[in-house]
Amino acid sequence: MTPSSSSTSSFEPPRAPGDKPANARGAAAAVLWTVLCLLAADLVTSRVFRPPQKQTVEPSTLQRYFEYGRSVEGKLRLMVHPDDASSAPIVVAGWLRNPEFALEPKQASQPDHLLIAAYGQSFTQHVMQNATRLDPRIETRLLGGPGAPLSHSYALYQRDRHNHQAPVVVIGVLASVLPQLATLTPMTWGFEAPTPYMYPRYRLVRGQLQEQAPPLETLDDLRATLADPSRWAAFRNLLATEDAAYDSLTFDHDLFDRLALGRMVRRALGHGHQSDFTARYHDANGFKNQDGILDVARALLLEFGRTAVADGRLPIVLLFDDRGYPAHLDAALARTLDEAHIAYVSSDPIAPASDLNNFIPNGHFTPEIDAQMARLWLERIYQLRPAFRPAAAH
Amino acid sequence: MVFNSLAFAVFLPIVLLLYYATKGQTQKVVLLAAGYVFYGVWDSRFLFLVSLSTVLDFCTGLMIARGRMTLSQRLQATAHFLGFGFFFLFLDWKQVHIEGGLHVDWGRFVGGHPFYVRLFLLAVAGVAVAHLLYPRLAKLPEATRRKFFLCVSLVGQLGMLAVFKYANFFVDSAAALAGRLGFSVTGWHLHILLPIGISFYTFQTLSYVCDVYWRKMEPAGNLLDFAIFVSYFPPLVAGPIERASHLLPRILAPRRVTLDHWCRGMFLVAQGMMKKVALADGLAPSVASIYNTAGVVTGVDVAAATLAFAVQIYCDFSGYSDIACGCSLFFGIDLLKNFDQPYFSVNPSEFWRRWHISLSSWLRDYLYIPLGGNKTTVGKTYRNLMLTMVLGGLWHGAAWNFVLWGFYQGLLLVVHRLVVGPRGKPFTGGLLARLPRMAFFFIFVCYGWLLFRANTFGQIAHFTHQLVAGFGSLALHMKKPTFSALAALPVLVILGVWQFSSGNPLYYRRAPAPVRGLIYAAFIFITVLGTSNDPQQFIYFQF
Repeated sequence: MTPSSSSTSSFEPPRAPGDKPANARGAAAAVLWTVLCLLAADLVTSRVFRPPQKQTVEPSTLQRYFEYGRSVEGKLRLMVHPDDASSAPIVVAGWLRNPEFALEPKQASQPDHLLIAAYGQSFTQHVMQNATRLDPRIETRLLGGPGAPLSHSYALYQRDRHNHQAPVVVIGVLASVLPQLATLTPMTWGFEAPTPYMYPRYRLVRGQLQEQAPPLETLDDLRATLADPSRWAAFRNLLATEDAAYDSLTFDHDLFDRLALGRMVRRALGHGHQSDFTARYHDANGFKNQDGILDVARALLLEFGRTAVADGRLPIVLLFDDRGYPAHLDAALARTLDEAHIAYVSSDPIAPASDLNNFIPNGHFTPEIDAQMARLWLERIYQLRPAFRPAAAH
Repeated sequence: MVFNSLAFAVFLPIVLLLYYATKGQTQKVVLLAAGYVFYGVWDSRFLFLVSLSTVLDFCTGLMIARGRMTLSQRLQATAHFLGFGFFFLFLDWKQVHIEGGLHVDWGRFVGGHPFYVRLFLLAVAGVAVAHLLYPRLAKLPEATRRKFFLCVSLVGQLGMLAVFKYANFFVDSAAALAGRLGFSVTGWHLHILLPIGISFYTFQTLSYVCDVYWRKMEPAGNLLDFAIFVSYFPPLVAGPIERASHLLPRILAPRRVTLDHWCRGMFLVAQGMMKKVALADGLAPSVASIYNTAGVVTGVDVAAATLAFAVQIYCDFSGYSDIACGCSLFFGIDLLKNFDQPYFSVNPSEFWRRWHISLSSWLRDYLYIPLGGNKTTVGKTYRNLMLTMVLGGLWHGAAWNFVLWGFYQGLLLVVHRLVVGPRGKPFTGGLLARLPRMAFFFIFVCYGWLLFRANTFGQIAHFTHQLVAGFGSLALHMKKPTFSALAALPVLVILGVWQFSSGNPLYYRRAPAPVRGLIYAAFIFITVLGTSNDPQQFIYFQF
């Protein structure tokens, strides 16, 4: 070997003519100007991207961006007004006792039509809407909430059992919210855009499902709680002990809400908290049975199947493996459904979650996938109810 | 521990406080302990490897240069190596839980894992053999002894790399080849983790032994000094790859931290954070939405995602280097320069003088020149270039696409040398005149990043095909970059042009205080915007 001609340069930069080492005065001035610029930027951002006063007006993308980090309490106090009309539309959705549910059909409008009672979230709704387009004889009774976890859908199903005469009942299970079986409300796990409805928390005690009822079942309950500091404190305490996703940093209103930068910092910390929450129940290999969530999910589906059959109805489960959950829901639940002979349709065979092209930017499936899923679901209905199969399809 | 974490935000001020409150040997102990804590947070077992690397080259350096070690030096080395073996192999720290009070599973804590116990006993046996052989080895003729200990160091260091980084690559490749020939080879895959930053500290210690062998520097006589050189935390896991001749004198000499150090350090840390948190992490999901999808990808997607990856990898890696250099300045230690605006390059030769400078200069000094460099026949010069770049590619990771990337970079250098000749003049025109050449060469740089980022050879072929013939549809499926990335990019471009035009790395210092304040505020504000991006591991940690 020959000696090297090592000639690496230090980061110590060669001083250009006129360059002087930093002095205390210059450094202090720079610090002062930095603080002033930051304050100005915060002020301008808070002013320019202030959310609309009227909650019924849709905020712009940037307005929403700078509001994501506001505490849940702060957002609720902005969104919830004394009447539904002036409140943000999202706060009305999903409550277990929702007057709008009474408007849903109770039986099919014509003898040759089939009423489907479906419980779930937007994914379920999209499939059902496509199904009605594909076969106009299908009518739907849709009850659900935005991003509803299985516990919410199951609670709605149970509360709705005796309110209709639909011969087919459908429950939609969304992979990304399966861990939310350990929670009581989307407020704690969806702090960026919280929907305040609540649902029970189910636990398996000696093999039996036990329901812990939610403290609030209507928007009016929430209004009353927000208006009463002692009730609000008790509500927060309950969430702190019973909701696995609760985090006071993202939930409680404080000084950070007043600063754009403060809200961004809270948002970052909230993301960390959310990742930690999800990581407790899910990793790259699939779901973990932390807090017994898989046992509870299986028990809920078995109970759904058992009660539906007892009521003389056909139960069908929709499994949605959404973005980031490739076939994980199937791995967790399909065997249970097979063994209990409960019919199900999964999104995985037609829209693997590993292919991002199956999704639109907000995380939903593309309309084509929704239509395919509806076609698959309809085919399942025709198989299980041959008499309902259209004549041309025989 | 990563720089953009809350843990580091707590760790650094504590270390700085302890560092400023002490001096002399105690201050060095603080630096050393900080390095071990910083590295051990990932996995304390890997500290044993750091110790092995440290002790091996401390001893071989002394034996090469002086042919002997004092009893104190031998005892220091023995205590360090066996102490680390005992604490991080023999004791299983995973059995200690501090949540809700201290809980220790004593049955498993001491000697709980048979493999590590055997490894520890092997280390004890190795040390005993070394002590037994020492008198004989010290009496070897000088030339033989020097070569012997150089070989010991090279085999030891490269052996560690071979086992931890490349073994599975070659085993899996051989198994795949055997499978194609109809043979079934199973059970050879090693179930081992890649120690973070192993390529960085291995190359760092290798340079020390080579420099001592070439009599370019005196060996470190004190294990504490040498251990700090190996485990000094700012550059430990992702560079810059420090040279002993550069870093050791700064460790040996008393360090004085001035306001100037702090000002320069703050600028680098703030700039590095913005690059990493706002830009690199903000672009990562966009890049992944194309490179990690099994779905339809158009030519526009490939072009956009590759362009985004070019920005992502630069901001990720140079961001880390900026933060490392900035943090190091808080300790009064200048690190080697690692990046010098690489995308302003107009040819591959210039690019490699500006990109990952500490690696390219390492490869030049310890591989290219020892191979004969350009002081040989034309054919051999090209061979040396290709070999250096292919091995440089393989340094990045044990995968064939890195080999291909290295080959591609070598090819660019060879073609450039063929076109401009051995004494090509550097381009001296202004920025505007440089712009078309920069843009033209940037296309080649980006194609290199496609080879680098692709997950399979099949993807390389498919994406290349789409780049050539996939523009029938202009549909863009790539996920939109985050707001923080969109806000940071113009700031980075403006500052980059300013720096390049001024030709002064401290360009910002001549600006009036309000402008400097504005720059710092932009760094901080945009970084805070970026904190809500999903944090990504630094890309170069895997190397």
